[in-house]
Amino acid sequence: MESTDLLVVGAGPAGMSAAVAARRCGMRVLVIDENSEPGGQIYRSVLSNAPRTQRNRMLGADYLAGQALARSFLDSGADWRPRSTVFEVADDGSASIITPGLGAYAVRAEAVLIATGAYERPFPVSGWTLPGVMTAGAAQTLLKASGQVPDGRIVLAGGGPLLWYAASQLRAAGADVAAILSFTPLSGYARQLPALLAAWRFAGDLLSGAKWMAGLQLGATRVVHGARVTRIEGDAPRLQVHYEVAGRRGVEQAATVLVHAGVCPNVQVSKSLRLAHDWDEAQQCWRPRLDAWGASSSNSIMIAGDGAGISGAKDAVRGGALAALAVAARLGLISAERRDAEAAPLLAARQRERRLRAFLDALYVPPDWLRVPEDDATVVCRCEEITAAQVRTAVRRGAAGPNQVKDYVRAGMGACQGRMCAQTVAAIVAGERGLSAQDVPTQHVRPPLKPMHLADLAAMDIGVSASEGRSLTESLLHAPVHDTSAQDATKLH
Amino acid sequence: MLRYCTEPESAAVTVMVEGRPVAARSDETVAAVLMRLFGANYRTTSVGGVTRAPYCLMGVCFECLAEVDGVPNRQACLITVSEGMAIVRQAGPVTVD
Repeated sequence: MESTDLLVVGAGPAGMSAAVAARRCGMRVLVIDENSEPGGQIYRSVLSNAPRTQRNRMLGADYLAGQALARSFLDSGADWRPRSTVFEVADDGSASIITPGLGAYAVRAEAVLIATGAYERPFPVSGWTLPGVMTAGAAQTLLKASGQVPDGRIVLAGGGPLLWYAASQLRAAGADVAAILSFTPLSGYARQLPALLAAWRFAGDLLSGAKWMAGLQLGATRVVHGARVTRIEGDAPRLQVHYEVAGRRGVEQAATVLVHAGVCPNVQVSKSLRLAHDWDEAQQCWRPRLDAWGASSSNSIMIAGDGAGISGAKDAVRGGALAALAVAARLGLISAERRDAEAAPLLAARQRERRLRAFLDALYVPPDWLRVPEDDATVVCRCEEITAAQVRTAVRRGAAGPNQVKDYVRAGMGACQGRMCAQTVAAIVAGERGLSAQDVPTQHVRPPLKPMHLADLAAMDIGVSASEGRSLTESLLHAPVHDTSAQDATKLH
Repeated sequence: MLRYCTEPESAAVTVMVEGRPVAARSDETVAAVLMRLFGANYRTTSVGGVTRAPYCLMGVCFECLAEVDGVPNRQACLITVSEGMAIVRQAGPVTVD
């Protein structure tokens, strides 16, 4: 089996930074990512866009800042495998990967760094499955990766820094950003004034946020504060976004609706490993339990970046470096003194930036109507086309938690493997059973982490004995009896 | 649904979409090409036969599924086009003869 010192899953800010730091400590590093270029989502296509001056003007300086990191990553000497998917990670540091041209294969690492970042929360309002409705991040990706913008009238709905960032980039790209339906009421900004003042050190970051918002307010874009989206109807390019503000109803016409309700850690790998996770009340999401270096409850598994809890790209760079330093010291490649000396400024900067994050978390906490659908007909599980009503009925008929809901109605059993519905199903279970969020068990995640072709699996050179770790096939053969009632009961007693 | 917002800043390529040649740019994803060509008629689902189009475009939601070079259910948002690539939309449930 191929071996390495550090396997990094994900080449975004955290993964790239970890690879650079690990190489400086003399480690063998293998980095894999699903995309064809390094950068992750925030810096997607940042290197191939370098000579594309038109697109770069639209995307702005914050995006271009990723070029230096991506270049130093490619120059670091790390083994870089783009277009590759991890379909299993085991807690002994082994992982199973598919790379075009190499097929499926296993790698054994001294440590695995999970740097799979974040994704946008589900936006479960009636009509969110209609063609023409996509996330604000999706529109950013189209602009970065393919030089395209939605054609016709665009309405953005929801909240969070990325909503405003995407809107200002789309405006710069000449798109028709007609309206922004922001879920944050104007009074919300005033209420967070103390947190805002506490974050004053980050005047630069706050100012760029204020500039995005002010630019949009001054332009032709209509901004509605405190809007609750009730439903989206019609057929693209003739969609109607229905909303309410303080009891008054309104409708916006749109060719494309861009929704956004903040981002949440992508915990698919850490959940599949059954690592310890904690409910983060401020960010309304599960996050893996980690020490200051990013070490998880399993010896071989480190986690850094937004997958460790949402803290942004700049902090992801710090987190990746911290994890690499910790592994290097553990392997005896650097002294504990050098590790601590290099970590000190990173930890200090991280501590300072907590205040900015606290302000953003408080300002953009997703409202209740985006956690639990108000309209029973809203599709919750997009893949299996399961509505809120069906999930509620399953719970009322005795499904104790999300794993039994999956058994009863298949919510979470489709191609996305619960990525788009797990949070909403859990919130409905919590509401129906009168539980707080942290007392609802999470949907179990099992390999393969992404759908794969059986032919790839069949052609895989297992070539390992049981003592070298369990392959996917062995895991399947020796899987414990599937008892969802027990899984859901664990936290209910 | 989509339009280019810059002059071409990458090479021109030709892909085969459902058997006919389509002009594309070498930095486009398969999902972007299908959205640009077909708009809301991107695909129909295998469960209920309803119309869907890409939602997240970053590999999470699986709404962008398409057949690429003969392989069905590929995440089209993660694949960049290349010369001669064969792309087919997916329609409804698949029946096995």
